[in-house]
Amino acid sequence: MPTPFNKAINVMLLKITHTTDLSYSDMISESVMELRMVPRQEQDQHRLSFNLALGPSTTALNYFDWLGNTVHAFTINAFHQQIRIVSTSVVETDRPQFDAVALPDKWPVTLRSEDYGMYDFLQFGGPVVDSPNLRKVVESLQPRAGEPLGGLAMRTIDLIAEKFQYKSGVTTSASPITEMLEHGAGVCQDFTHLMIGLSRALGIPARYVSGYLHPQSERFRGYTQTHAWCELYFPSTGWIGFDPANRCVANEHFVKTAIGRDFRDVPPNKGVYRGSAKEQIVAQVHSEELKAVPPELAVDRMRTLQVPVYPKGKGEHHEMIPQQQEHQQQQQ
Amino acid sequence: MFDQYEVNGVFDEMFAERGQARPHYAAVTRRLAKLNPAALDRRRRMADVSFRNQGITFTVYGDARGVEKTFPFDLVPRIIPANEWDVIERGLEQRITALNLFCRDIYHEQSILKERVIPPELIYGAKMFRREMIGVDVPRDVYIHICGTDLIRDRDGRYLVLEDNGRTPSGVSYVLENRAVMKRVSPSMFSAYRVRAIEDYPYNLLRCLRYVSPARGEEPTIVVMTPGIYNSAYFEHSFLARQMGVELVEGSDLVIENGFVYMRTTAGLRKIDVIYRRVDDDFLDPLCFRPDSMLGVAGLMNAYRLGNVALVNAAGTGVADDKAVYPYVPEMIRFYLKQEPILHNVPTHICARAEDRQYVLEHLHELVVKSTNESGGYGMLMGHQATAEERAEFAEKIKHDPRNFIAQPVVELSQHPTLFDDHFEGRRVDLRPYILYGEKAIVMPGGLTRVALRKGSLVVNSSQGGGSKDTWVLEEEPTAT
Repeated sequence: MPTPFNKAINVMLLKITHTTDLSYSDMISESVMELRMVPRQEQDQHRLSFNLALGPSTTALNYFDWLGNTVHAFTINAFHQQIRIVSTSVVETDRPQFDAVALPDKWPVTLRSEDYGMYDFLQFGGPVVDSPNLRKVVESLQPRAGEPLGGLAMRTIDLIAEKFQYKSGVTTSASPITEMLEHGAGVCQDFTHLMIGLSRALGIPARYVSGYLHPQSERFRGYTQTHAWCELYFPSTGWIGFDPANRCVANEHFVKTAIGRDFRDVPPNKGVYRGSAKEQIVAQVHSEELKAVPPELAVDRMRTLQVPVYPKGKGEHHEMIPQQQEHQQQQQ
Repeated sequence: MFDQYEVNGVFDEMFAERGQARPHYAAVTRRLAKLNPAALDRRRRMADVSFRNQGITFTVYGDARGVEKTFPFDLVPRIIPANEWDVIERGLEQRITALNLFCRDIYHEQSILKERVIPPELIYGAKMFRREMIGVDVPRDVYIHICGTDLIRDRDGRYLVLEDNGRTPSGVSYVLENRAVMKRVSPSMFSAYRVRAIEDYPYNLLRCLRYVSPARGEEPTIVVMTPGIYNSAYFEHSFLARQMGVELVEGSDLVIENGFVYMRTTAGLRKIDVIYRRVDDDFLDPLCFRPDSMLGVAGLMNAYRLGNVALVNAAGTGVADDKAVYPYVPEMIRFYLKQEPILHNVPTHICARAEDRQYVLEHLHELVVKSTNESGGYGMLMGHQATAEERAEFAEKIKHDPRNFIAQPVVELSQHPTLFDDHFEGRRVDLRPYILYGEKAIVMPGGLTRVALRKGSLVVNSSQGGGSKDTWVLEEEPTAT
């Protein structure tokens, strides 16, 4: 009998540094921000430490959101022109390699009545919109009752890879999947939303995962940015990660920071501020494999970065402006 | 004056039958009969001037003229005897207790869903089910601190609950002002009865707000938060703030620092403990809810989650006043309180249920269809009065989005004599009592009696051209005098 899991479990110890620089063309005040940057504690992913450095000086308070993601919230009320956020995580991943096709789950999926919470992962909403174009792609998958769920998921991934091109600049972080379907191209965020849409159309619970991808030679795309992929629900096993942009099942190179219905539930940073300045966001992610945990990263810490604040801005009263969630924020 | 008054089939509040007033109305009818048209007219003008001078107005949305209107006030009081009120009071206490337990449960253990007393998809599909509130502990576990529950009476005079308004119910200022004007205009009629006082409402409200302050052992700072002067209920917001002696603020007056909420004052920042907010959830916090909101405070929900401020009512109570959840309130009472409901609901068809939907589509001509998340009489169809096109249009809407609609049989609301020039005509009324829930439930003895001023109309909402009456709850049975 084939087993879905290989005997060898690959363990990987990773250090991930995520630097976000927000700069403004003029003075702003009352920046209120939320971060979702803390790697989740899961069965196959263990966070050993998390360090957060922020500037200008402020206190970040943290809580779990309704999806179990850790959120850091902070406010900078004084006048400022830049914000710098550096999060450093040490994570051990031991995701077993497995063959999704060999799992016992069949399509269509039957959910137990106690799994009513899956409702949220079966509904269209936000960027995951239903459309005739989406239904056409669903039809071309030709699902057969009784076929292995894993096989159908892999076919979905292959179909997306064949029909759609990975290309940045075509979509934005706010793009619904209708744009990807129309242009035939997008980035990993669009690939993920599309796979979620196709799965939900087939009655398979699907959720969005935001996180990091540690490069494995040249195989994976998008390793310079935060990454996005999706998870499908297999009643026998639980949630299993699929990366439609890289045409593979999530393995030990993947680090999950947040899960959600779609991108709107998981952005690594979002905020609003008062002022009429233009905003620029530059995010950089660096990851490296460690042999052991260095002493300075052994425990959780908060630090303050030296970023200036100013006693007074211009006298006018400004409306609150949402931070841009445009191109710079898009999960590549 | 009552000579031509018709009692025609529906329940009449004043007359048991033509020419025969119910005992608790005897004194009122006697006094009214003695007044000549000129005296009546003088009283009406006195009342009008009082309202106008107080600036008691509301705005009708969707009216191109954008008029601020005074709420038409009728000089004849609605009177509720003590024994009837006793039932209403106990029924409302029971209801708000169950609704609060429901909110707490829905955002925590969800046992009512796990035991399938309410279908989970109904709650998960509710627009006002705020996932952001899952797992959030609110001060004293109170969600609905202020509830305005609409009651109607059927042909047999039975009180039925039409809906619970557990988000930001308005109208209580009219109740207080109606009483003040009534006492001024008809003092002798008022003193002919022992009417239960309602003037302690602002004090009870303030006590309720203090009770949920997270700053225990400290003198709490309380504010009323308004969307601003263009809101239809702005008068009420400023009225209540003034009555309670607390600040009236807008979102831009507040700022978050270190997880606490502060108010900007000329003397610097001042910490806020309790916010009686009259801003809808959607606009409360642009970071958490609608990002385009200009009315809220960015980061407010984070301060709330941390337990540093109380919101009144709590965020997320809309799930309890969703019109498709309303039919389950009797089940909530049985589930949480192990009691039988004292007040009954109007029978309701939930369009999300296939068999109900079929029935509704086949019987549109005799049903009232309502959108599950609208209020104020917007987005509804009165099937028996609608044209064939209007019904067809609604049928399409229902098929397209069944979760968004419920339907009820037409309830022939009770009628009450209402003054028109020099004579009285019967007009349909409802009743919205206000319930406070702090240390315990307090039902204001009385409430807003709304009148549908158009003949035969069953829609009493102020936004749809309704008026109001002072409502007297009697201390004891009237003795024959």
